[in-house]
Amino acid sequence: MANSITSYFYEGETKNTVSLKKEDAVSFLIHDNSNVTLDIDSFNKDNKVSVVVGNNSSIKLRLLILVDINSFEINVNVPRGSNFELVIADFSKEIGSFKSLVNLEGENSEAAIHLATLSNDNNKKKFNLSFDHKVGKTKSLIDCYGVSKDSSLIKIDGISHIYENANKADATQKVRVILFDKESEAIANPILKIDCNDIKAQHACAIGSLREEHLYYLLSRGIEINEARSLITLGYLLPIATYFDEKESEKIKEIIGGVF
Amino acid sequence: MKSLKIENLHVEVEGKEILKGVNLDINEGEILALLGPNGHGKSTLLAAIMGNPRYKVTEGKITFDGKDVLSMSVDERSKAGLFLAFQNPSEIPGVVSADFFKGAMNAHRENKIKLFEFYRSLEEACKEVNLPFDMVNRNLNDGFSGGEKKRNEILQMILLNPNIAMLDEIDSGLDVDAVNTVSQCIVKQNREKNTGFLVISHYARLFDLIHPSKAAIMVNGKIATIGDASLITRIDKEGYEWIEKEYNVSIKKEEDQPMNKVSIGVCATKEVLKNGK
Repeated sequence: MANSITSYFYEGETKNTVSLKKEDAVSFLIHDNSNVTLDIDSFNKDNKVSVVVGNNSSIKLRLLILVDINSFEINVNVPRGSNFELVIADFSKEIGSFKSLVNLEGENSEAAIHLATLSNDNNKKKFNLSFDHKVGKTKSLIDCYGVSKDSSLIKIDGISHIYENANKADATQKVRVILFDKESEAIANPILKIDCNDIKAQHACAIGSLREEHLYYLLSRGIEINEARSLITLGYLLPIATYFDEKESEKIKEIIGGVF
Repeated sequence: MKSLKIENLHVEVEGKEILKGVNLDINEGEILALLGPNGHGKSTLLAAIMGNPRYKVTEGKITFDGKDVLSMSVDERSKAGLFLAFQNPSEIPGVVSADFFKGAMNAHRENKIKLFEFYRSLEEACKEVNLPFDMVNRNLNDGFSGGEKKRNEILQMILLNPNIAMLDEIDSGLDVDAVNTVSQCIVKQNREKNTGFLVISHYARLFDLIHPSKAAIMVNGKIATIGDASLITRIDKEGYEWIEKEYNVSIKKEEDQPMNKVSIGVCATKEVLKNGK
């Protein structure tokens, strides 16, 4: 039996909060020349989302994940002159599989994924964040910050594929994960697949414990080691709060503050 | 009067001995200029005093106000009254400067600073070092120019009000106006708060403005001589060659460092030869 799809239509200047609970699959359809901000505040164990964006539109999709998720799949099509931004603040215990695929289908389309994830208390988090630059003059950004502590795992695969003839495409991937203890693990694969000559692409990945020179700098001002660690770690996770409204932002700060 | 005493200090970095028996005293209220050719251990001395974990003290003593500095952790050294203005301050993305300043000020106090008092102190310090106040909302040193970083170091010195401040080439990268501003801050801190200074610089201009009471010259990981400020004038005019003759030492030149082994990885591949194209 086929799963049902619930569709939401948006146009103009719109802001809305959506619950995925009890939905088999959800489709967001954004009209041309619209500017839409959507918050998803509740999730199923398994979630399927598709986003179809109209021409010259802008959509920001914000996920504040506080519950365990077995799977989350999101597919997005971004046409000419449009902009898609996915913001993920993940403070759940488990993400079995989070997969996103953003198709940049029209010239001058742009998309970005900002992720902050905290994996503690033996948690496991797996993300696969992909962009397909199908035409030229498209731009993508993967910007991920993770903190893995207490024997936890964070795995982030970022795949940006620039197709043949996608001239002047621009892809950036940044993944940074702090490991708090020897038992914790992080795996990051920022992958660029490039089938075109005239493009711009960069990727960077940093996994490791807190940088000794940063700790030393803070300690040299009298700050104790545990507070110095917390300050630096907060600096990894807190910036994601700036993408949310005040209420969610405060909630994020409260959660992070409770952990460190 | 509190005093920082360094006795027969030997320090090595990654197995190489840099300091080979340094003896030096700095008292509260005095300004000591530390000069010497590049690579002879001046910055190593400051780093060892502050407790940089990269630097291993193999012999000797450092005491401050009679207490053993070497047995203190880095934060304890700061709380004891020592301050180091770094030559290359770390850029720490994500750490908001104001949060960091408040954390540092609270670490030096028994009771947490009140918000109003904190902002007032910060505002005054920003004015003194001529940094815009909105800088405090930026991430610590992240994206700061060289001059802004140096002034930010002096700003922290003002906020923490140490007994002894060590300044490692605080004037490098500063324009003339900024050197004047920083010098005024040093002089004010020295006169009004009685802070003692250990100042490394290669330029007489800074020393002309802050008027050191003593000068020491470090050569080959040791203090070759200590005297009054006339030493600075002489080095500015004659360089370091006269030290070799008068003190019978051979000044080691900076060794040619062999290039580190590097590997260049290929992390993106291009696949265009599909289907015979």
